[in-house]
Amino acid sequence: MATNAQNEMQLIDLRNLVKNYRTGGGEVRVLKEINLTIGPGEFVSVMGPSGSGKSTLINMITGIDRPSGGEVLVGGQAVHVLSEDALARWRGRSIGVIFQFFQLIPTLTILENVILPMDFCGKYSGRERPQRAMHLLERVGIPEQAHKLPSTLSGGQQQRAAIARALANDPPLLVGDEPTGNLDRHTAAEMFAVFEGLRAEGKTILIVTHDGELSRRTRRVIHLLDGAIAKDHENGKAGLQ
Amino acid sequence: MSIVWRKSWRDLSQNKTRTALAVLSTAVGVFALGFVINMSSMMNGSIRSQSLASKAPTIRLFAAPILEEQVESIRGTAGVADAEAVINSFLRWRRVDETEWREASLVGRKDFENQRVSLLDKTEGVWPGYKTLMMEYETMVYFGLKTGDQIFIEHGNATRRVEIVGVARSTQAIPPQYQGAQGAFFATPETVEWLAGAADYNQLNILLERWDPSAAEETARMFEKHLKEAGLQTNGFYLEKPGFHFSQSIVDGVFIILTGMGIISLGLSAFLIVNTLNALLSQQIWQIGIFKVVGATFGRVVRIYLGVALLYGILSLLIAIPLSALGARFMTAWMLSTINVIPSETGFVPASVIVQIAVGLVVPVLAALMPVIGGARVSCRQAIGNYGLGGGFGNSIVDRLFLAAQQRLALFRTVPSPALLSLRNTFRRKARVLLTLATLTLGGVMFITVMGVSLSLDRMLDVVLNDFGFNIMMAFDRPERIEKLVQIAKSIPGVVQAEAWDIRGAQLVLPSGEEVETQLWAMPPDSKMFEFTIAQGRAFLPEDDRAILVNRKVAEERGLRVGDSITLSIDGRESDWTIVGLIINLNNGQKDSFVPLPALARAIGSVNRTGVVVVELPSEDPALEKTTIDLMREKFLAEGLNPVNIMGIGMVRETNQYQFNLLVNILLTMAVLAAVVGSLGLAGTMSINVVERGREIGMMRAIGAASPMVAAIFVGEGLLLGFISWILAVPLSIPGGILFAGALSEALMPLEFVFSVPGAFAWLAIVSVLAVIASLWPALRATRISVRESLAYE
Repeated sequence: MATNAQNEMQLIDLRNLVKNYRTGGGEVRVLKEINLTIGPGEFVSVMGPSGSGKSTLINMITGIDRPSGGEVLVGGQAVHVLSEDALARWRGRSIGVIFQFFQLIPTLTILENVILPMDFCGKYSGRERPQRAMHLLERVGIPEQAHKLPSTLSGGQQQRAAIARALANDPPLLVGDEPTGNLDRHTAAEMFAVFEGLRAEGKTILIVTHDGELSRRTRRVIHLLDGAIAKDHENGKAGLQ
Repeated sequence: MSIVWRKSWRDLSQNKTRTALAVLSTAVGVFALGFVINMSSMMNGSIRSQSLASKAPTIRLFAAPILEEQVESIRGTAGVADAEAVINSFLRWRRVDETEWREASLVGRKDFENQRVSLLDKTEGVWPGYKTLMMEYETMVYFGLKTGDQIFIEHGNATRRVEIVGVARSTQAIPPQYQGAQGAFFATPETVEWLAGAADYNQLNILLERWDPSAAEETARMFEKHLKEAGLQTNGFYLEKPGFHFSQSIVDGVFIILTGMGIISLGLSAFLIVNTLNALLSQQIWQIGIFKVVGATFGRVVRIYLGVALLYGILSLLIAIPLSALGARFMTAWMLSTINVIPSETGFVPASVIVQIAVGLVVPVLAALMPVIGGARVSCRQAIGNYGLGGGFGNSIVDRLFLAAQQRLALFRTVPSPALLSLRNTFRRKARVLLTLATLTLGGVMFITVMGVSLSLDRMLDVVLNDFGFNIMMAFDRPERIEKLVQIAKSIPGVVQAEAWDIRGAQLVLPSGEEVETQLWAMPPDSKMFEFTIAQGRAFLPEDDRAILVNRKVAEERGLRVGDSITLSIDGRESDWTIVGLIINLNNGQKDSFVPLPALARAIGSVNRTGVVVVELPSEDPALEKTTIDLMREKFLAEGLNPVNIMGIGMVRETNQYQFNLLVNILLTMAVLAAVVGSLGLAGTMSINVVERGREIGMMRAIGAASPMVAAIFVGEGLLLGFISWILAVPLSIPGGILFAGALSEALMPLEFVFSVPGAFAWLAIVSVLAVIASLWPALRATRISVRESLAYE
């Protein structure tokens, strides 16, 4: 019971999480009994070589993919039991997802891309949405790009727009799958500054990255190896799980 | 406008090719349907209103000589709206500057200023006076005559020069092109007498207040009886529903074809929409993933893409509604002009607009439902993970069989790899290929069927005309001795053989007392020119007395069998006959019956005399037919026999061919539509393929494929699809044609479907050309994709 009370304090709580994929050569276990908790306001990076299960782990937390076993609780919500539609609604309100290739809708302007999640979730009134979207673009430093199409923006600008979109419904949790993977060093560093600012405002941030230097700027680093947590430590402290 | 609508709208405006294809695909189907409704409404409306306005007679009763007081008395009968007697006669005429004599009808009426029934609409000049003529509008057009022209008229032995003083339209006049180039003139009774020597009123046009077929028949019979009792020679009657037109069966046939084709086109459109949306969704699958990531539910995604389909529908309406009104207007004007009707409808048909809107909005959404649901169901992870080189080959049984065959068969080892790529690419997106094939195949089925039906119409005409074992039939105004008729006919150069026949109207009196109108043909029992097909029973034997051959259709409808006894009422005299056989004969609404001439002669008390002669010529040659008719007329006139009815098989063939050509032209228009829809489908598929394989094309170019090679791979794929669709279309067009011919049989005449081999090969040629054209453009676009551009995709 004590653990439950303790876990309620956690924003992310993964219990014995297992994910298998069926391939031509049989079933492959990508995640092996992962147990992990992340508290509110943490800034966590997940590292590991290709194929270690980083993206799969992120997909489990965001409900983009479903676990083969175990439980995924995010903000107290058992994600693994939700239907596709309930997942979409929940995700729209509770998680902001940022992708390596930005994934902005090419036929919508930057402002419209940011309004889109608000339209889907109906969290803000119709009049508030453009104002809020504009405010978010100011927040990520690209208000002047609001009425341009994504293809006219630089990579860094597009990723800022993607972050603004992730923040649209004011979710407590931001999840990024290699959000700086497609950016140059300088821009990637700028992006991290944005994340640090958001963390300071109380958002929980979880990112997958290959970049050791950047991961050192997060509070906590989780190393995955062959689908298991090889190391989980706070920067400055050594630790092993 | 919400963000999502904005996105959909921009998707449409940014991908103009795809949008154009989708919108055109939808528009073709909606157009076809709107066109049919518009045309049907405009044609039937015009025919009906013109027929009503011209007070077309409900009853046309033939009797002579009709007196004015008899007309007055009929006019006063309850239920009769009006009545008028006219003089109906036939004459020969020729232009002053030509030597060729032509046939014409001459209608004499007493008062042109105060017409009562079957009104003439004067379009030019003045009403005819003494020794002048008026011509029917179509006669003017067909022969290129002008008001003020003079013509020679021959009637009996006299030839007179007469001036044409005016032009009038008559809805009841059958245009020359439908009636063996027979003209139509109008004159006063005095002029008719001056031209013909006699002018008895012989046709009574009666307009009833209300239309009720059985009551109309009863009224007609009553008048006929009264006139007969008054001592007039009666010669039957015709009943016509108000608004009926002589070309009604052709018009009905046309609409059956058009409706069928309209529905098929709409189905094809739906296929194309499914294909386009499948492509759109496969290109936007990652966007669907993003929608889901940022909170869009399944229902929301479905609504977004159904909205796109709806937009396609709305855009297609903008094309289809005006175009179908315009197209129908032109087509109607043309078709009406060929059947002597002035278009009276404007072209705006509210029902058609409503149907088009409903269909244009509902069909795309319904067609999009499957692909959209499929696309929206894709899981978030699959959707987001969807990039890189496309797969799609190698997983299914078909693909594995193909690969195995390729490894084993020597044939495949010699196929160059680009051709192999065409071959395999064809089957990558199996659902898309199936839909494209379905569209092309249906287009092909439509085309081959249409060609087959057109051939069937020709064949049927052959069958109908070959039933007549003679080339010329000539009926005279009075009976003559049989030997004399035959002897005169045989003396004419070119005549191979001649026989005396007889043709007269009669009623078959059924055991129930019901009377069925029939046309009675009588011929020698050993006739050499009787070639009708006997379906059951036997032909006449020399010893047959009162034997009758009945049309199989009549027999089936009335429950008559071989061996049954039946009563014939001929000119009011009843006699009993035995059915010895049933005949297949498509002429004259399948109402003809056949009896031996001697038996008929005895039954009506006119032994050894008849008024009809038939002759056979060495071949069916229109020129020979014409000169022989002229010679026959001359010879018989010299003997005091005035021909009142002449039928030349070549002439009948020409007339019928003209009517069938109307149908065939419409059919061909529809076949062209089928080809357009088919190639739209192919072009759509090929351009989707190019877009989808952008990276792959870049890759091929990176490893050395030159532009012609890249283009050839796509054109090869298009050709292969065209060829497969042809293989499928050929067998399918047989049941299709049988169904189609069946539907036409209902409206026109019994039609047996004939498969058109040239039609099938013509489609192979057309589909090959279309395939090249439809895939060439996307292929050229493929060759413009640069390596850097395509590999840097995303």
